Amino acid sequence: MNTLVIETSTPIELLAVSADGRVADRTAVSNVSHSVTLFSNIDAALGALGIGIRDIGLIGVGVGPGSFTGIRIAVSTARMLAQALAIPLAPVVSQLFYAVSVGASPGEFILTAFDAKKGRVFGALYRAGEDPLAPAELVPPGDYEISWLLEPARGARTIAVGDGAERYSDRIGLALSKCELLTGFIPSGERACRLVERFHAETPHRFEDISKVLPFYARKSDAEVIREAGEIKDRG
Amino acid sequence: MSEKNRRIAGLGLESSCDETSASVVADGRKILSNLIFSQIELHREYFGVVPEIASRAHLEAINGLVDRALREAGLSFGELDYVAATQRPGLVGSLLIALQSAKAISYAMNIPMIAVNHLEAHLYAPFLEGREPEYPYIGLLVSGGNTALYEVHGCGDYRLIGKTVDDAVGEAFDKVAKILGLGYPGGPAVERLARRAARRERLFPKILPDPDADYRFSYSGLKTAVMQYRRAHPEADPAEMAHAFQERALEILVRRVYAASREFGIPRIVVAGGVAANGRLREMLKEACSGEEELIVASPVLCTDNAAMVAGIGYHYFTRGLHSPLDTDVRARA
Repeated sequence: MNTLVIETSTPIELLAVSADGRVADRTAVSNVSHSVTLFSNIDAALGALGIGIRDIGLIGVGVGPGSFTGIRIAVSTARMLAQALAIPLAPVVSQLFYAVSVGASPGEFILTAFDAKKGRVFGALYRAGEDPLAPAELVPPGDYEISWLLEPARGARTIAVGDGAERYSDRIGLALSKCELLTGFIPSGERACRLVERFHAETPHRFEDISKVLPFYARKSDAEVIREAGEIKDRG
Repeated sequence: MSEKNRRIAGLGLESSCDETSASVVADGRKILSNLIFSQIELHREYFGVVPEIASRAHLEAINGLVDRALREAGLSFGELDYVAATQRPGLVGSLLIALQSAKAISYAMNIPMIAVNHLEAHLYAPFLEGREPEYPYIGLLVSGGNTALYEVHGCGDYRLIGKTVDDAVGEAFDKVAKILGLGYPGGPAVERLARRAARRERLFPKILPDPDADYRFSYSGLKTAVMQYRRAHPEADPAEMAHAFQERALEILVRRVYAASREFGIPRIVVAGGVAANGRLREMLKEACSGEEELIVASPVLCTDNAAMVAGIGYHYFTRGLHSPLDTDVRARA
């Protein structure tokens, strides 16, 4: 089955197509909105493999957490492509695309952290196992202060990726003596395709209803937070 | 011969503010389906549209609406000739949902995508009701986000004559509704309350002085006047205040549109946008019509944001080969 993967929850546009064992990986940092570059990259990836969009049989999409707008660009595009082509759509937590790409050795920890502003990161903590596509989730993807992700990794050999990890590198360095920060890390399109194909092979029925493929924001809108804070204050 | 063989079928998508809509229109004129999901309930407690909440809701709604719009029209994706989506102006995060979805359909089905100006689409709405588009006309666009006057000579051929220097008229209705404790959305609430006014006095000053030196609109001063009057006269009847506000808010629109019609020698007038659904505005426009002007106002259901108007105006771009590339980005401003 030919697979298209789209993930745009960070400034990195992860875009890859696999067909008959070959992979076209157009993943790169985007300096403009993903909405501008996405279709030219899809077209280029398909063209590199000599196939068209109607040859795609499965789409995988990063659902976050990450940039709200970035997530929506990927998810709205992927949902409508899947609907129009009548093909399955597999949602994948964005952090997992990064975790499976770092090439960690079994037992090593993987810290993924995207800058979430407000002194926080959208991140997760994994432990690599024998299967490179199935790291164990130690701290589930979510909206955290970086220290929440660091505490469980103390003493463990850790690989850290993401612009949030780079932003808080000093705090990571203080907390984790055996941490390697991979600056400018770009996730692997090939790994992303394999991950999506694995998910689909294991539970194909899960990916037929596109209405269930929704963003994982991990954070409420500011208006909701302010309103709820006001309600709590009123009750107090 | 099937419907498809006789007609050019376009799918329109709209998500510029707080309504998600999908519509199929044939030949730019005949509405085959027009599904609208209103987010009013989601925003009511905030007394206005919250951009992030709107963006999230658009994404959840749009695929189901497209599915239903196609089914109601009796068409499949493969029978569409083009797809059109609002590209500007509007809330950036919201606009992205319809535009990215339209690009995806365009790419998957290998049909043209048309990026549409929301304001031009609004002005096209009356021509979805059996009337052939005729040019030139003076277009008055009145909504929660826009208050503007255009000289329109054809599809894509329009000139801005004047616009609001601060709030849009619909925004002023929302703000005054909040001052009067009427909730959200303010337009229908203020209009309903104004009808109950026992005394109909001019409580507030004119928005801009006569004679009309230009075609500007302004609503922040009127809103402030309502707020100050409310503070100074807490016992004042809200219905009388609603009436007095509404009269002042609408009279400048009527004055300006007819003045433009006379000055530019264009007797045809098109009024569109959410505030055009206001019954009092429609009355005032008719009362001011001398008989020499031709007044065209969309029916209330087509005044609010909808995708039929997007598919409708998109048809004219499609038939002229004016397609949009898939690297087109959204724009907050027109």
